[in-house]
Amino acid sequence: MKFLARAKEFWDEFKHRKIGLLGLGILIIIVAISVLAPVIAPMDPTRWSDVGYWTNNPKGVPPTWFYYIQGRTPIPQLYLENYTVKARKISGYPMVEASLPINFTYTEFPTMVKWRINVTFVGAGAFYQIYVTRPDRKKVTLYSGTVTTSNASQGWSVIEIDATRHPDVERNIGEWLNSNGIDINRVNLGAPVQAVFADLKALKKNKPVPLRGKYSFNIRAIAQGKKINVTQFRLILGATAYGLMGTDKSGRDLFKGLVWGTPIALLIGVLTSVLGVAIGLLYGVTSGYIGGWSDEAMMRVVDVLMSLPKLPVLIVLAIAYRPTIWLIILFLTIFGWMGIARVSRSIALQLKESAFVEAARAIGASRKRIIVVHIIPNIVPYTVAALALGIPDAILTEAALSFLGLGDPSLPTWGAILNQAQSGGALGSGMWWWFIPPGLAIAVVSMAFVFIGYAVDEIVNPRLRRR
Amino acid sequence: MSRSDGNDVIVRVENLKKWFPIRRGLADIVMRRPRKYVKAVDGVSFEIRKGEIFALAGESGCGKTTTGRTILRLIEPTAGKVEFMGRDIMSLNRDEMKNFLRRRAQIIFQDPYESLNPRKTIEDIVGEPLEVHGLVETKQEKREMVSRYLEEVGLSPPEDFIFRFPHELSGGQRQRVAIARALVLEPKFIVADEPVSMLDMSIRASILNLMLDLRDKMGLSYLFITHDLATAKYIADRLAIMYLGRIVEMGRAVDVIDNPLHPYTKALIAAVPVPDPRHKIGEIPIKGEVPSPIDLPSGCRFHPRCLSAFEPCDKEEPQLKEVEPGHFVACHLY
Repeated sequence: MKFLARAKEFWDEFKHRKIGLLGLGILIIIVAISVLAPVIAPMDPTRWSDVGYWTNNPKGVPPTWFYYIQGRTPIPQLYLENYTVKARKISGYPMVEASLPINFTYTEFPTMVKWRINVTFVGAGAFYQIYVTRPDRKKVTLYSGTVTTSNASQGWSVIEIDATRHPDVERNIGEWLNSNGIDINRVNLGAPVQAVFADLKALKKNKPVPLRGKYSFNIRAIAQGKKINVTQFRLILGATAYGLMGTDKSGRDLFKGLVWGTPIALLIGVLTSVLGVAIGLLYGVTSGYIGGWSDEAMMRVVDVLMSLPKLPVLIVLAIAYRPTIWLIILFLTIFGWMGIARVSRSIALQLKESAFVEAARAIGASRKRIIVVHIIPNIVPYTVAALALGIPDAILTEAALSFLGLGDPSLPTWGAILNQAQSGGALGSGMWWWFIPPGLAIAVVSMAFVFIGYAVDEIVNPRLRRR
Repeated sequence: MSRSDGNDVIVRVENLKKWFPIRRGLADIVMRRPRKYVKAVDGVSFEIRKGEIFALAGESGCGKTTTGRTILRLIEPTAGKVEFMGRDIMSLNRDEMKNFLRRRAQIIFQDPYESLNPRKTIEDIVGEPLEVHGLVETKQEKREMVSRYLEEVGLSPPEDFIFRFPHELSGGQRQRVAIARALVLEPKFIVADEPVSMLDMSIRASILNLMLDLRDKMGLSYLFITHDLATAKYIADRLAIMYLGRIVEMGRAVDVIDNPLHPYTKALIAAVPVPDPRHKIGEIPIKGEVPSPIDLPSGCRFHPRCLSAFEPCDKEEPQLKEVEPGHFVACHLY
């Protein structure tokens, strides 16, 4: 009841501070995003750095809405799996031909061409060829190869190839373009494989435009044995835009990264700040209340820690320990409690001499009781602001470490995304969706806590109040 | 100095000294300058009888507050002896301190705005001694006890007060809460450190009367510290005047005020304002300012300010002498 009354009193003061309300509003949104992360961006956050997890996504494409506001229509991500199989014999060898038709009506090239084909056969091995037939009746061989098996009775092979930048595919396309009088090195395409979908006349003038119409992706395979079949044929054509925030160069969905970065940032900020304030408070109060030589010694420890340059030491620690997120929180806490310790100590020194503490001594209250019942509750209000202001500090420091590539490598922190954007050359290639949103997220979250901190500070330290 | 027999004495203070060391700078330590002290209390002796109100009066800085706190061992003395109910309080161990001294001797502070924890309710404040000493077992018991003592000090009905915070009460009400807190342990002795000096004139008398009532009801003795001689005369049975850490005059309150012997007491009494617009404060028989308690004057510490100082005053320190029955003075004039 006492607590409620005091909380209401506090809220009555707080609600008159616009900046505090703004911060609180942002905070509520951040917390909602954190809580709802599994719903709005379903993902296992620990697989953020697992390249295989993202392999089918288009790589480095902007957000979908960015296309629409420009009045363009992006190609969607296409997963094609409906194929037809024809089997026959050639010179006594079994042959299978599977084809997968596409009606390509888009105005842009797919950013990725990728297939997964499962060939099963009985015999020593098989030879296969993958080719495309185009609406202009031209045929392009993309890839060919052999599969072998040591088990003569039953063999199978999965042919999974990302053709987007595959050297064999590039060579084959180069030869094909050459036979049509085009030098592959002079065409202006995002990836060589896109030439498969190009209008050759326009390409000759170096104006890449897709040729619309019916294409067909095919595999023809001949077994050196008795039987052969194609049991899976899947083609993926990469979208030119993806989701709300686009993807990075590994195909990671940046929206998911941003959303999952929120609870991680909150965890780091809140835990570090709470631990730092709790440690600082207890340390400072103990030092101040005991006084004398132990106070002197304890404060010198604070001075030493305070005079250490925080970031360089953290960098060294991070290099030495390759930290997990918990270790980072521990490191940040070690460097985050001294300010509170000093403030708490000076308030404790003042309270120690106050008449109500002397009264408590006169009734026989123990030292512990005086600290817990009379001193700490009178310091806590002063630390609330420091608590709020410590959170952005921790978030920013962690972002700095992650940006230097020294964060927890397995998790999608905003700093880590920025680090990958930096090493992926996002700035140079204009992939703004890779570095602006995480940068903004760090700024906005920090700002929210700073706003709340200022508003709280004004309430608990009335001297700061403006008229 | 004659002593009454032990049985009716509750507090006996002998040659009590409290010297506060002055913090030395690095230069002082390197130069091996001797440590200096503020001699706040410098050899004070008196006794308080059961049921008596003993007042200690003097200017600010004369050591009267330090004396009061040292008697309760809220400050450790530099030298001297304090006997409380026949026991030397300096020899008490921790448990004895808690179970003997802290239960039987209490203090009321000057500033009721400072002496109550602003984050506690009145119930918590008055109930805390009961909790510390394990005198109540249930919340119900605690509330009953607190209510009883709130009524005792004139805060009734208690239900109007127990849930309130100190800042919701007036100065006089707060001082009553502080008195209730001192009373719940049913002490025998209370140090009242200027309990009314921060209160409005109109409230002073009611608090003083409350203290007098409580003495009669609960058989209390008080050490009443004040700088106001009018208050001292009103409440005190006996009165001691302190100057720079020493008692200069001591006796029945009426004797000391109506028939002051020491030149300092005379000056203090001459300085008391009279609520009569036609009355002019005449020449106050004193000169100069209070000297620093670090470098005390030689001989009688009052002699640089004394208008009647003569030959031995700057060399020999006068001792308390019983000049009239029960009336002591430390002055070479007598």
